[in-house]
Amino acid sequence: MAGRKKAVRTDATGAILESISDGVFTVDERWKITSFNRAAEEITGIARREALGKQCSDVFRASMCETDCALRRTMESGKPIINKPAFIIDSEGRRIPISVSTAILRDASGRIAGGAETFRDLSVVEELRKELEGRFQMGDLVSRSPVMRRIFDILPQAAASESAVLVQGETGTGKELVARAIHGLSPRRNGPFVAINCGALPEALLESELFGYETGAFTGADRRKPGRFAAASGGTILLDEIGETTPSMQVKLLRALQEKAYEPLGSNETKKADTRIIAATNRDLADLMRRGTFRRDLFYRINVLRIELPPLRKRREDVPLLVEHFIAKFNLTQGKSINGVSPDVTALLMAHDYPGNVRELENIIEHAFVLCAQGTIEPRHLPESFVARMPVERGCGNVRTSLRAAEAQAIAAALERNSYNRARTAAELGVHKSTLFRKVKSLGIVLPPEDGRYKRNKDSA
Amino acid sequence: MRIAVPIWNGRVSPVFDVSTRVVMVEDGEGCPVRKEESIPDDPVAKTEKLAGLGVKVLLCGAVSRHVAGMLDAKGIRVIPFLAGDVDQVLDAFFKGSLPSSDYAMPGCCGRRRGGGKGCGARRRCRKGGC
Repeated sequence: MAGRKKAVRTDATGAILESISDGVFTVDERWKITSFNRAAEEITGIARREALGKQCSDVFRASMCETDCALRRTMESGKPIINKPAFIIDSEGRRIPISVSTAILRDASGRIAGGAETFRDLSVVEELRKELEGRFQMGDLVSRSPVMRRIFDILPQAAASESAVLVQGETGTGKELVARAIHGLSPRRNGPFVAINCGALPEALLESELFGYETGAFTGADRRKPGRFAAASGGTILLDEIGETTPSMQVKLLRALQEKAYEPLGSNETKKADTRIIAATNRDLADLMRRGTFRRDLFYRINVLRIELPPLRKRREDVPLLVEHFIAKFNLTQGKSINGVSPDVTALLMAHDYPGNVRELENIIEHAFVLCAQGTIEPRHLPESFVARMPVERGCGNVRTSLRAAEAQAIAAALERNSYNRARTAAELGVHKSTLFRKVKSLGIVLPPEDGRYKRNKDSA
Repeated sequence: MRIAVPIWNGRVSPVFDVSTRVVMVEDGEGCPVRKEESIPDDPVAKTEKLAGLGVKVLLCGAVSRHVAGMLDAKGIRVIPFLAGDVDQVLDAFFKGSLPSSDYAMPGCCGRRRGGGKGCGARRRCRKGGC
């Protein structure tokens, strides 16, 4: 009778274990797997018949196995562990976040017969948490845009390799921040990071800055000066605005990239360049190459891995996040405690096109920090030139402000799409031409002196 | 050629991402030279250290894609998801019999990275390879 009861109880326990969504396995005193439920199969991707009898660490492959095994601690202390976070690696190389709970198994006589471990797949929870937070950060780069997330995903691999990286993007999109993030993640991170703007210096000066010079190399060179390549030895050099360099400078850069060698001005001695090179530009290098102003061989040499940074107007969802980021940064550096921006300011900032990209937004917030002593940043704290471009009635309520800003943005975009041809823009927007004129005037949208019609007439003339 | 195997209790360390010691073997003329080295916890520093030590092949247990990508970028060939006694795994490698189901972690069938899909609970496999 007692035996039948026990068998029923065992069956019931087995059925329960099979039905739950938490993975459960048990081990004997030699750490061999003695049972492995359906959810454990699902989460680890390992069939029960493959798991049974195997060393638990080879099956479970958790980050804690080697360093701080929860089950071992429970077996030693006799105390269960509840929801300890860790990750396991499945056979596809994916890291799966889990939480682990443990208990001791005793036989009928109360003797320790092994241990039981329960684990929960937290992948969905983790994804939801990221989704809720909607924020990805790498170095000083913050974004919630999917395009930027893809860039963040490739940065670690770009960092680990020694290949040249080309960062393309409009001015102010954060090309230097990407270069710094790559340097910070790379094995060279303890070495120096040196950035030089190739477009800011004339060729002769750029050459002496990059490669250095010897005493007497030119008039006034009364002492030897090592260049930026030497300064970046063991680290990373960022050649910003590389599209602005002259053809002869491009030849010298090609040599430094290809042969990792250069000669300082006035020297016959070849120096080795132990420097990771990252190039950045706001120009379309492929187009410059087609037009013959950028060397084809240098283009292919630096274009091993290309990262294209989208302009801020194409990732407007990042504006509130960046505003928050800059407020936190300026609060720290300026010792203030500004708690945020008013809804009117958010509407204004969201409606702007940011030709100067993230740098422009940072400048706007920095300007507001000067004028706003405490509390919340209001439209009056924003730069006059910025507010003048976006004339929105103040004090009319958030919804109205936002609506007007959105309306202005939609009309401006439609005008741009139609080359400022008013009739075509009005037709696209489904309003009469006079309504469009009225809206343009009341929203303060600035139109170029010539419109699409004017241009067409001129072209046909 | 220098080969490294992360080690834990005499066995291949189950998770390379968190392992802190490797056995290094020089496969050259004469008797292979074997020595142990500690490696950093941080994946970037770990990869850098192995590359700096001149490691060309890594025989390891589970490794995440992220870390495998970094090793690959450093020109280190990875034979992942191996289990068992380190000396036996090294022996199998020198005999040219890796990857092998005899030293594969459960659910991994003894495959090379990128050489095929996993075959765990959802993709069953026979002993001897997929």
